[in-house]
Amino acid sequence: MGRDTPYLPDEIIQEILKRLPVRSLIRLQCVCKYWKNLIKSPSPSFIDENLRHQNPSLLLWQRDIFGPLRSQFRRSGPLLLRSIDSEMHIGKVQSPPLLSPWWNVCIVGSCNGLVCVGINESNMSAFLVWNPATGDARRIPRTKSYELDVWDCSGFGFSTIANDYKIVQVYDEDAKARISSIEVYSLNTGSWKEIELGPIKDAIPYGESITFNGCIFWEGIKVEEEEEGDDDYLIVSFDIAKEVFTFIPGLREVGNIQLTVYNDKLAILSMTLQNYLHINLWVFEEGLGSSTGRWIPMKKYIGFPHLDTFRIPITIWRNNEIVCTTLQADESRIRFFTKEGETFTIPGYYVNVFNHVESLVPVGISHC
Amino acid sequence: MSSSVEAITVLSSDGDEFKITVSAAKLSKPLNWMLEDVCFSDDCDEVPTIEVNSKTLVKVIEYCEKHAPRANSGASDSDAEELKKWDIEFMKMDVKDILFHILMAANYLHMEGLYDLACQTAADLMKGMTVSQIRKIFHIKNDFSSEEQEQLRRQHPGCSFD
Repeated sequence: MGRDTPYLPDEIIQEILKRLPVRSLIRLQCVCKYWKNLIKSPSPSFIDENLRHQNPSLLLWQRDIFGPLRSQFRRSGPLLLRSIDSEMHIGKVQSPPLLSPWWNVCIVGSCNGLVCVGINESNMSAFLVWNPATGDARRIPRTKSYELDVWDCSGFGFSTIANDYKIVQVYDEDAKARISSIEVYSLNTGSWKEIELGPIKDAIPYGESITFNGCIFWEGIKVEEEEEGDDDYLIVSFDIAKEVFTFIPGLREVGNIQLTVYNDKLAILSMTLQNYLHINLWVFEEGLGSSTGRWIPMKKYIGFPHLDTFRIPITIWRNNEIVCTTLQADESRIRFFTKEGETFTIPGYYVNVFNHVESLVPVGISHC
Repeated sequence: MSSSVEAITVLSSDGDEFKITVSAAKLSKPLNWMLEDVCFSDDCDEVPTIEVNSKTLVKVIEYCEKHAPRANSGASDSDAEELKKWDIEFMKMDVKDILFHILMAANYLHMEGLYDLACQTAADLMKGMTVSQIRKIFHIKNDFSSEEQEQLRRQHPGCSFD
């Protein structure tokens, strides 16, 4: 740009800065005090508009191969993260403060740039809400005793209606594989509160959750007093604003199932054992009125004979690229592929991969 | 305004005359208001001035003329795709020198599309710039004390003040 650039009014400078990646903004705090203030103490509208301009990224959770895999349902271990941006640049993620590097943790979820980490140490039972881009973190202790070894269910998400981020923790205090209580933490109020079990008393949500559109979803099973029937598999949904649980029918397909989001809809990536080369993408169409809705097959990702490996789908990103892991006798990889074929591959052992987006969302107060 | 008028004449801040079609001028709210208020028929001798320099106004009018058909009639996806490619070309080198002027003009003329495009172009350029390069084009002085610089460096080890 030329030497004689005009002086831009603050209004225009802010408009430009909103369109920069968070990573660049962190660097540009050094320009002057005014810019530092804009970036370090951003206005709610600046945070929101900046978030809308960010490209999606992924967090890759590296496996500490010497560490134990403690939970049956949720993957856990020390927090070693790398990130991959939409241009497929891989970077190291600085570890959060308030967390010892050897602590056993699980990742509860990632939402609008905030990552919720569950800490399950004998002397530290807490959550960490952490913004990896700004480096800020807040530790939130659990209120009750908690045993990871039984089964584990927690979730983290945002609701525009409530304008709040919440953590949900499901407790099984008697270790009876029955929910005994549920607590919800609000980032706005900074406190836990116990909520009514409602319909969830007859079901057990488990494993990793996903969140979008103001809801958190888990896979779950129905608990019957009698013999277990056929219809025991379902999806549990939690409305973050209303703080109520509802059920969505499960997808009756044998094999590996992974919840994900596709085109702003709840989706499932499935793989049958009979035909493990193929991965199917299903999308849940909400029913009208009182009907429950149903699963619609969207796409089939056909396997490629030259990549004849066992692929476990993890997630979908940039709207058409499947991320999966493959494990062969001597090596493990994260693979990316579209319907046309493989697009990218990362060697190494990974615990899990999470959809993420960088943001300036603070870990304390709400951003609206 | 007479409906027979297809193009109007405007003056740049440098005093040069420019023609802009009515449909293109409609992309700007203030110009649109002017069209409604001022007489633009041939025998009208009043030529409105736009507070934008000639070099910038040429580019702004070029953008308006290109986008006018789509803005007025709606467009198919393929047109939108073509226009997107055109925007990228439009924002390349020849505009860089006057990008900030275009930003000011788009803001002043209330042209949302051009303003958004110019802001994004500026943001993309800044990604590859050093902090001191950015200070220079924005005419900003480093007003941090050495203690404050040290503190920021500690919080964000990757940060550089140069």
